Amino acid sequence: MSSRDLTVAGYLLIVSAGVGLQLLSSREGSRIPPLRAVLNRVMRTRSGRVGIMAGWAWLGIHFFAR
Amino acid sequence: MSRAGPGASQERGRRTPPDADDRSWPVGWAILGALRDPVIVVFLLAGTFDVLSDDRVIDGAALFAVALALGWDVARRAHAEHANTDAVRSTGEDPVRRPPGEIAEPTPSFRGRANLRLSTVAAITGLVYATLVAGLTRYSWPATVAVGTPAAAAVAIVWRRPAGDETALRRIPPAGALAWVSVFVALALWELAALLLQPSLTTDSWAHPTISVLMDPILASHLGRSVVLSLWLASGWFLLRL
Repeated sequence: MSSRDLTVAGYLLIVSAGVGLQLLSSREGSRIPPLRAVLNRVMRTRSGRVGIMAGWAWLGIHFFAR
Repeated sequence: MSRAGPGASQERGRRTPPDADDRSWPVGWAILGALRDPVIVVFLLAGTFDVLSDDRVIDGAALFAVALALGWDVARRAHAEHANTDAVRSTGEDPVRRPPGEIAEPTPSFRGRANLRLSTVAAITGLVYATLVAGLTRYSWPATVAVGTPAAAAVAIVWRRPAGDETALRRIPPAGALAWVSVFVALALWELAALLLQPSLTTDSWAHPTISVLMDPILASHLGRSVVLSLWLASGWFLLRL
């Protein structure tokens, strides 16, 4: 396994963990909240709200803007 | 550095901010208050690494601008709250409290159809936008304006939005919240490790690719850019509606 494979596998593992948490959250009586609930909670404060939205904005700027 | 007047020595042990009447609200308090907010710290760190690893200016400057704006807001509100506390102490009344019996404006009960129509219009507009903007050269000025406009508008919208009612929210189990935080922290650390394992911060590595490097082949085609822009817009729309 090359370094590149290991790096990509790491990303895939982390994304899979996120998907797994989201799936677990949909089970009855789960103690794992869905991502929407976590974001909703974080976005109750101005810094959380602006922070999340600015993070989203930065992604677009980073990939497309000068 | 505090210029509080007589009696300040008694307050010193309680780490309270200086007197709000003092016009020279110390910059140190403002900075310390801002640095207690993890969102601001995250943006400062992200901006630092972005500037170090990239020769482009706008995305790094945007991160620092958000950190500065949030820091200014934290300091401004802390100052206002302190002045408000003093006013309550001197008059015995809370100037921002609503009179007893006042109820919040009722929420419209039939917004579903309008929301659906709005979502459909937004989806079609978004797809057209994504297809058009995907035709622009990456990192060009037209692409910068086309992406920067909705990005700035969305941040401005949430900045102006009033704070939500925290009591109306279902409490999130700490273990569940920790699980989600772990995923995002792991992603950030893995990306940081890949960045630090590059030959230099400004030289991409095939062996240790960052997410940006992995995205380059996808963003090389018009279709790839269209899909990514569509997903970006859809996620922004989702966040705006939270």
